[in-house]
Amino acid sequence: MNRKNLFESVWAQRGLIIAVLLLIMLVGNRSFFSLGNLRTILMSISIYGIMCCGMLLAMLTGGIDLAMGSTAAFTSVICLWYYNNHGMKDSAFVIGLILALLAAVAVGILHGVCDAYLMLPSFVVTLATSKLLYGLASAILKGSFIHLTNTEGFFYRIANTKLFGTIPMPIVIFIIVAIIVGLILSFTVFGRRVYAVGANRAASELVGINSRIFRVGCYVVCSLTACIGGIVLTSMNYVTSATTAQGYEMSVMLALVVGGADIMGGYGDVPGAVFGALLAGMVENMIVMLNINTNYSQAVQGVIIVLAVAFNVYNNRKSAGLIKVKKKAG
Amino acid sequence: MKISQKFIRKLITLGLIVILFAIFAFTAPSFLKLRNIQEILRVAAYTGIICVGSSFVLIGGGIDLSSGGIICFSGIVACRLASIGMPWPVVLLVAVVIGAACGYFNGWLITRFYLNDFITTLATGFVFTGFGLLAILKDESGTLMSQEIKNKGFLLLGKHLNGFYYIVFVWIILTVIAWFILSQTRYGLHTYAMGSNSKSSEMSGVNVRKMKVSTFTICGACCAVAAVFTVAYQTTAYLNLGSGMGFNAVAACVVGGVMLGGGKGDAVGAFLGAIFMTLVNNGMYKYGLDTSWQYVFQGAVILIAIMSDAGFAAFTGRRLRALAEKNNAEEALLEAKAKAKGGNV
Amino acid sequence: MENELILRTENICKSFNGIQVLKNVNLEIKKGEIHALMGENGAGKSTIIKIITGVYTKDDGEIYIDGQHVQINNRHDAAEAGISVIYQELSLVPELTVTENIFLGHEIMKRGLPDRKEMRRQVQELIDRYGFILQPDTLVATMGMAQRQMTEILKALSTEAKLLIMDEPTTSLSASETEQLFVTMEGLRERGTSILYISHRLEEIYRVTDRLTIMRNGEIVGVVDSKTVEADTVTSMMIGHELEKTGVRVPKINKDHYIEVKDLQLGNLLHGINFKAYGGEILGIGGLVGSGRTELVSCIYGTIKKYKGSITLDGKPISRSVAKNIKAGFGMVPEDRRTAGFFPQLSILRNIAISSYDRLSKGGIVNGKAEIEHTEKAIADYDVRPHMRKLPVQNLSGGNQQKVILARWLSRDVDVLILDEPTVGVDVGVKAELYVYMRKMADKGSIIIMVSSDLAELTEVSDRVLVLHNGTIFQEFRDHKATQQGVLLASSGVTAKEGEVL
Repeated sequence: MNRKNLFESVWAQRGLIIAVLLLIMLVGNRSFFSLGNLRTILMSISIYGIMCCGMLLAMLTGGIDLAMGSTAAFTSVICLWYYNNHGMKDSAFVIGLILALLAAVAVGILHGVCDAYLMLPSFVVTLATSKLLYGLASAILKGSFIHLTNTEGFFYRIANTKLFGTIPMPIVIFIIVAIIVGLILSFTVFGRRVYAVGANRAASELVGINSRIFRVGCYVVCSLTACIGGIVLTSMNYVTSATTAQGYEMSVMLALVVGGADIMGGYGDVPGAVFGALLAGMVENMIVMLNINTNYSQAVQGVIIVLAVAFNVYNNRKSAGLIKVKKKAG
Repeated sequence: MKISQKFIRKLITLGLIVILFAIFAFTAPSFLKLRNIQEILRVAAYTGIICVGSSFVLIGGGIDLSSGGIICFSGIVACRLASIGMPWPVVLLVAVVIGAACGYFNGWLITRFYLNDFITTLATGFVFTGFGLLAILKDESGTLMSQEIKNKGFLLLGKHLNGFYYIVFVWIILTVIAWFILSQTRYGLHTYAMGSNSKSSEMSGVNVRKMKVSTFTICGACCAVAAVFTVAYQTTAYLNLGSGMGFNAVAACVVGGVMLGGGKGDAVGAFLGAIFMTLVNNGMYKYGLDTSWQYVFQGAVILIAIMSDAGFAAFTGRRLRALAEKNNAEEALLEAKAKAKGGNV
Repeated sequence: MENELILRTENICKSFNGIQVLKNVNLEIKKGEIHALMGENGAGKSTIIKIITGVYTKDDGEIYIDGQHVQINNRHDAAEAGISVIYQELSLVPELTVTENIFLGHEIMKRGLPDRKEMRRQVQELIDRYGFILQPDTLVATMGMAQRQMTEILKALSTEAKLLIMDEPTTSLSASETEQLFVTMEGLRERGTSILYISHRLEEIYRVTDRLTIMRNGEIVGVVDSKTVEADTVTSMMIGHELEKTGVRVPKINKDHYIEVKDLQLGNLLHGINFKAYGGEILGIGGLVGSGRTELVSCIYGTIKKYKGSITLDGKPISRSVAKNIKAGFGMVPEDRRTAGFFPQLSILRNIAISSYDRLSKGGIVNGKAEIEHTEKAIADYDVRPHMRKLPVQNLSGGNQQKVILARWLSRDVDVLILDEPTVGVDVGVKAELYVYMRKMADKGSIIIMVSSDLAELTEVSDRVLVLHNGTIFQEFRDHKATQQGVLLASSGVTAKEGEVL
């Protein structure tokens, strides 16, 4: 069994899935292929994509962050609230952004400490903080919305300009975040160690890696991408509230699981996550294009998650035990 | 020494409930009104019945987050059936069968394909909500329609007797049954054994797979019961029914000492946990705090609960180790005495 | 004669992948005796036991219980026949009481419910009959190891076991607990229960057993009366022909490069440890499992930080942080490679390079080319097969997995290498290769400390051997004077005269 073949076959499978979906749309609704719709798909997945890159790190080290949506809402509310209360100047945006990022770091540290040091189950912790942050965001706004009215400022332009006049900024930001995280994972010592911590915590301690600090670090990155996603989303919609990005963590998890990540850690990469985000976005768009009641989309997501998890478990079990390497010289 | 850790843990929860109750009673306006107490009990019963099911899964070492989806699906089916005039026992039976089937499906998926129960039930929860969507009343264009149940016999389930809603009785009965099953039967013993050490249990002849599937099935059935009574109270079912309840029930169980990871806690703990969580929410509401702060408090309470539970577990662990050492010391003493005797002879 | 025997096996044979691990084993255990079974690792002890208890199926041969021919195909058959095993890792459920544990899986039912009173009564009766210090209602979680073991024994007795098999039951027991277990065993013997007792500890064999069967290379080499047999006889039977030392290596010891351990104390696991390990030599550390070997090297490496005493490298105290020690040239091949050694789903490249990013990166960025070169060289140098750097390590054979871990350290020219049971589950060919790499390393002037239970390995490969016994250094064998027999005796706390030919 050649590692290269394995890699190729995974992408062959992924290609096949996309091909099948495209075929369905070819029969179902041709307007799916219009340039405008393509952009819509990319816009819808750009936010998921940004968050995916962060959650990937958390999942690689064996954690999970179900508070991503609330973190996005909470931090974007902080940012926009500060911005609106301080004259909607670009300088106010910068300070607001810093405040939001600091809040995200604090949330990430809380999650990381609970998981890595207090050894509490991460999904309960993050579901609880999810409620907490949702409540805080809602309390700041007294349950209502907050609008981004200054269409001249930098905040508005984040999502509403196009690079070279054609590519919307959220997509550019998504690509940049994906490239940065991808580069970090594949070319830095940090990335190598993240995989090591996810693959075997005890062994990583023995090669001198402080696995707990890495896990906290990954949660922090995760919250940071949630914050970035939330702010881009706010700029995209000109409005934010406690319900901003609600439920996005599910799409993010779906994207990652479809992309081959494992919630027990050690598996997954950025290309897989990007593929997953793409697929999630396509499926969501398809449901709209095929005139299926949008309420079904979550059920479809559920089915996909179960299938993908089962498939991953099967694959991992197979590569761990069923495929034996024949000893051959050379 | 005779007072067990379990008992202390329950006393703590009970104490917290009493303290909270007292605080709310003296400070929150209109908290102590009979109407409000009835309402608290009704909501607590709704959560509590789900907790009964969840506690089986949790004690057996699993977790079920799909309760919300099961409630939604079975509740909507119950609503449809009641609307076409089915008598309530039939409605209840069908709903329970559906709930149990959903639970069985969860258990089957998890044990058959070696899946992680947390992510699987999170996902199947959505799938079950999707089934609910399929089942709900729609007009020709597919728009959802609300359906008012006029079936008098069925609506009786949502009524009360001298101020005590029927669901409260059901809750108490189910808790007693669960307590009996968990503490008095072989099934209960095996559930604890599986949650505490699944490998040893399997070696001792416990069919761990079957047990696991059965705990999920029980959980599904309980959810359906909660759903039917709530639908009867609200006289309708809607797609949001039960949303978030899966996690809320787990949280309530954890607060009541039914710890994640298995083998710990019991039905009474789950009962107290449900009361505690309902009390917190109701008190917040009565203070006039808006829902946002309720969320903040809920989140904080859960965080504090699992943190203190971990602390409590660490404390108990230390105590257990100390006890174990003490037991050894006692043995050594006995042994020395025996030797001394032997030496004299 | 026949009805004196509780168990008799006739010509049991077993092969794995064409390698015969049991050859015509005829094991005989009398009624009401404590029968010891000894043998080195790999002698076939655990295989024969697994056959008797139905975990493995035999290739050939017959088993007789009480003179009756029986078929044992699974655990259930063994239990039916009256054979019970007390496992090393106890199989009790901590959240249940003694009674509940004993009857778990075969509760006594009355009107559909477990009959607690009856079960409690029966357990009390068992406890009284055998004189155990136990309460039927104690939670297992609150009990000490000895009590847990007693519960386990009671569990076996409750199924009317005629033959109890105890596989190294004393490894995790303290001295007083061990003594209690022995008293318990003697009580069982008086009541006619037979016990098959597997142990590495000679003193225990003398203390408690009646007869002793010794196995070597899948065969029974002798059955002796364990009260009268000489320790040397036992050890020489276990080891067989003591190998002539082939080409004794003369280590170039560098007295200026050393690790010194002074007055090391760690809880009640280690006390009063003093020794030096020099550059250029391979220092072997022997002793039984539980004698403190692994803890000792963990202290040196920095994974255990809360010790008292001093550990110095060339006179300077070493750090208690693993990362800093690695930077200073330390390396560790841990005892259990699966749980703490390799990263199963990561590639060979990632597994080897993980320790060397101080050299293979600049400013946190990995130098991909250097990384590949480094790995390719390591794979070639240490002959990891297959030569595919991208292959996940979980798909390699045990020996090659170990080579990967060794290559992880050797490829960065470590200065201090600690190996804990480096060749467990490694085939003979690869073993020899690993030794060559270790010797080369030592010749370069590195300090090598090797913990091993494999006597041949310990005496052959090490230049000097320290044997630990109950947390202290019991004996030191210098200048290749270590013999397997000497080490074995020292592990049990018996001193053989140095240089004495046994």
